[in-house]
This record gives sequence, C-alpha cells and structure tokens, in this order.
Amino acid sequence: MSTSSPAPPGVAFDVRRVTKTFLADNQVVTALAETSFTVPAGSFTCIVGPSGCGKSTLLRILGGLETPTTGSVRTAAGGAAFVFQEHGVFPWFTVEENVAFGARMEGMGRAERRELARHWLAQVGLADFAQAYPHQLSGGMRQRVAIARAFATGWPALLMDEPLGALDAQTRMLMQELLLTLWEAERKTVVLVTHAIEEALLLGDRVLIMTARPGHLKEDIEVPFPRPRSSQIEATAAFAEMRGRIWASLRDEVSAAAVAP
Amino acid sequence: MTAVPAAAPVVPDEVGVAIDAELRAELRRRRRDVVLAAATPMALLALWEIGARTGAIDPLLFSPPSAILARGVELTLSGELILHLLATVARLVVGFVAGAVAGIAVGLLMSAIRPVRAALDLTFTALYALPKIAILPLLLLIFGITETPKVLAVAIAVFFVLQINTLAGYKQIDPRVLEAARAYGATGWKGFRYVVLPAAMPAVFTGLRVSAGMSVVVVTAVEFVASESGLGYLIWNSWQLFQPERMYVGLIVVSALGAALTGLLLGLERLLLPWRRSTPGRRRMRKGVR
Repeated sequence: MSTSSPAPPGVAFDVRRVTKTFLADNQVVTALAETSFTVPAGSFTCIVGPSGCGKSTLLRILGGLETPTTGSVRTAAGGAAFVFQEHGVFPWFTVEENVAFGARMEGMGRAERRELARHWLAQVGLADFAQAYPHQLSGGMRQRVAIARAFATGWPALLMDEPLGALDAQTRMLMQELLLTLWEAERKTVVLVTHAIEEALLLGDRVLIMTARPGHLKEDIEVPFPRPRSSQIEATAAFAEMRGRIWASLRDEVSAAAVAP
Repeated sequence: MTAVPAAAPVVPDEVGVAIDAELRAELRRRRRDVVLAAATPMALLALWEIGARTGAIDPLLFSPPSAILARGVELTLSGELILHLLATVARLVVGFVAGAVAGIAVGLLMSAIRPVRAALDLTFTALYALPKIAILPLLLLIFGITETPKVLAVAIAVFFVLQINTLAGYKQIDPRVLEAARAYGATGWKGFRYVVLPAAMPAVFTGLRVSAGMSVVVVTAVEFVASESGLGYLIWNSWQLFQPERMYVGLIVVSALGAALTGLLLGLERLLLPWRRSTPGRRRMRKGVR
C-alpha cells in the first residue's frame, strides 16, 4: 500500500484518486474507477453499491490487503481489523483462540490472551462458548466470534465486508443491534460494506453510494439520526424518506449492473 | 440462535414422557443395528463351516473356520506366527514412518516454497503413476535380498501418497482463510504454522489412511517373492506347500494388521484434530434430556 505519509490528525483513511485494475482471463478489468474520500477517525461509514462495483476491493485496499493500481491511501497509525462475510474464523482454533488470534500474532502471552478473549466473548454474548470449535456454532454465532476478534485486536479501525450478509433476517437484526451497542461504546473507525440500505442507515454516520462497475463514488450522504440509536428509528418517517432517497440513487446503478455484460 | 444457553426449562410431564419414549426407541434401533452388523459375518462363518463339513464346498480349498482357528492356535503356540507377524510389522512400521515423514516434509516444502513446487511437481506426478511394486526388482538388484529393499518399497509407496495429499491439502485451502490470516498479521512462518499447517492436516490424514492400506499390500507382495519371513511369506509358502489352513491364518492376521493400522491412524486423527470431531454439544443435549 502506498502509505508514504500517515493520514493527517483526525483522519483514519485518506483515499486520493485510487483506481484498481486487474487481469482476469487475459482481460483488463477496471474494478474501481477514480475514487477519493476521507474517513474521519471514530466515524462509522457505510458503503453501498451494486454487486461487482468494487466495494469489497475498496475495503481491501483500505486494509492493505490489496494495493491500488494508481492513487494513494494514507492511513492513521495502528492498523485495521477485518470482519469478513464468512470463512473468516479458523475452524482449527477454539472460539477463544480465534478471538485472541490477532493478539497472539503480536506476541501476547497466553494468560493475557485468555483474559482478552473472555472479555470480548462476554461483550458479544458468547461467554459460555470459549472452548467450542466454530463448526459447533451457528452462522450468527460464528459472526459474533469474527466481530469479537476484530474488536479484540484493539486496532483503531474496523473494516467489515458484509459481515451480516449470510445471516437470516432476524439474526441479522439482532447482530445489527449488537454492532450498534459495541460501536457506540468503543467509537472505533468503522467502514462497513453492505447490500442493505436499512443496515447502512441504522449503523452509519454516513453512507457512500457507489456506481455500477467500474465503481466510483456517486453520492456521500450524512445520516442525521441522533445516537444512541436503536432499531426503532426504522419506523420513523425520516428513516423511510432517507431510505427512499438512497434507493432512488442506487436503483439506476443496480439495474445498470444487472444488464452489464 | 441464542447467544447464551438458557437454563434447562422445566419440562412438563407428558413432554418428558414423550421424549423418553423417543429416546428409548432410538436406543432400541441402535442396538438392533449393532446386532445385525455382527450377525452377518457370524452367519457367513456358520454357512462356511456347515458347507465345508457336509462337503457342499471343497474343504481342501475352503478349510472350515474351526480348522483354521485350531491351526491358528497351533501356529501361535509354536511361536511361528508371532515371528512372521513381528517381521512384517517391523518392515511396515519403519517403511511407513520413513515414507510418511519424508512425504509430508516434501509436500510441505512444495506448499511453502513456490520454486520447489515448480521444480518437483511434474516429476513427482509422473513418478506417482509408476506402480510402486514394479520397482522391487530394481531395489533388489541395488541392495540385494536384505531388509533394505523391503522397507524401501513400503516407504516409496507411502512417500508419494503423502507428498501428493499434503500438497493437495495446501492447494485446497480456501483463499478467504488465507486472506483472513494475512489481515490478522499471520504472514511468513506464523501464517504457515498457524494457518497453512492446520488447514492442510485433514488431507494429510486422508493420505495416511490411504497409504496405510497400500503399505500392507506392498509389504505382503514384497514378502511373497523376496523374503523368508513375514506374513506374506507365510501365505505364499502355504500355497507352495498346499497348507490352506495356514494360508487362511496368514490372510486373517494380515487383514487384522491392516485394520489395526487404520484404526491407530483414526485414533491419532481424533487426538490431533479435535476440531474435526462431531459436535459434543449434541451429546450434552441428550444427557440433559435424560
């Protein structure tokens, strides 16, 4: 990642004219057209966009898992922890070992790691499952493990790639409330990629809408709802109005993506 | 999905009774399965015994089980059987361990270091196609009729299975798991130790089980032609001397040996890969209901 200089104070990510092209089947594919934005430290940013618009690629670039083809990303010191949609937790480690994995890689001792894991497992309601293996848990519980693991790193930024995308609707609602509570307590910088407009509005301070591929930023919308929030805001007229506005913007892009070759 | 297991609810009587009946029915079905599984071989043995005694099948070729058992006891008491068994076990264990260790090591090196993989993959794949037993004459030519070619034949057979399975285990690792590892700082040796190695282990154990059966075949075949001891020799020699009962004893012991080796590996797998075991939660739940 081209982090020649750190981000200015108060900024978690400073994305400047980033593009991403790669080679697939001997064809040059532009995953991401020129995109620029900044993410203030301690803010919750949601990215929505049609399938294949490059929003996951963008997230990976933010986290340093991929390098931009052109442009630069400046990142605040301290690192960013990922929450993936699925397959992110390691099946050969117990729940506790998974949660403390980042700390283990940084060389934290066993007793300390155990304490750290216990703390975060309690936060996500899995205190009784420390010694279980992931295959013994439901999909929702596994995502709780993934979320606990990200928070347990203590890193200032969290990058979430559709963390709730594979869950059923009701589990998903519970998990949104969990994320809301955890975030409002911790105030880390979060960038969350999602398909669900409601999720973006419920959780985010701000929603970035991306265009169909090659994706770039189409709109940057402030979410005005006061915190602490609860899922009850979804019943308000203001929420419905914002959802309608975002969908109107997103709709063209989704239909463009649907008929793209 | 619940985050916290609820305290055991007070179960109304009739529900408890219904669950109990259901559990008892399931236990009955399981007992029946065990009885049926045991009954089939017993029935076949009984048929064999009756057939051989009444002359329905030629008792010279198909010795009755009772005669085989008697011969087995006799061979055991005389010490002959133990001697052959130990000779085979020694070759099998040394060859298997040497071949497995080398195969896993090379497979891991090929996984971790791309140039090693590029250099060896094609050659080993081509060599794998060679029937391992076919190189025994060459080994005999090189080493003479000593223990070395026998052990080596087993080791070579096991080596290729393990090398290929270990590498396949690496290749099938979900790229998303590797990405998660990288995202959490597991790179280089740490990534190998904590992610690649455990992720490849199930395939390694599959290789161990496959090669266990194969190694018994190879050691037996080697002992047929190039040995004066071992279970393979016992079987072959019984044919030459026309002693079918002795041959059956050899066959039974060699199968038991194969089964024991496979069982041992399964036990080892359960011990080393606890995360592959089926959920203990289910057992706990059943106990809770009782």
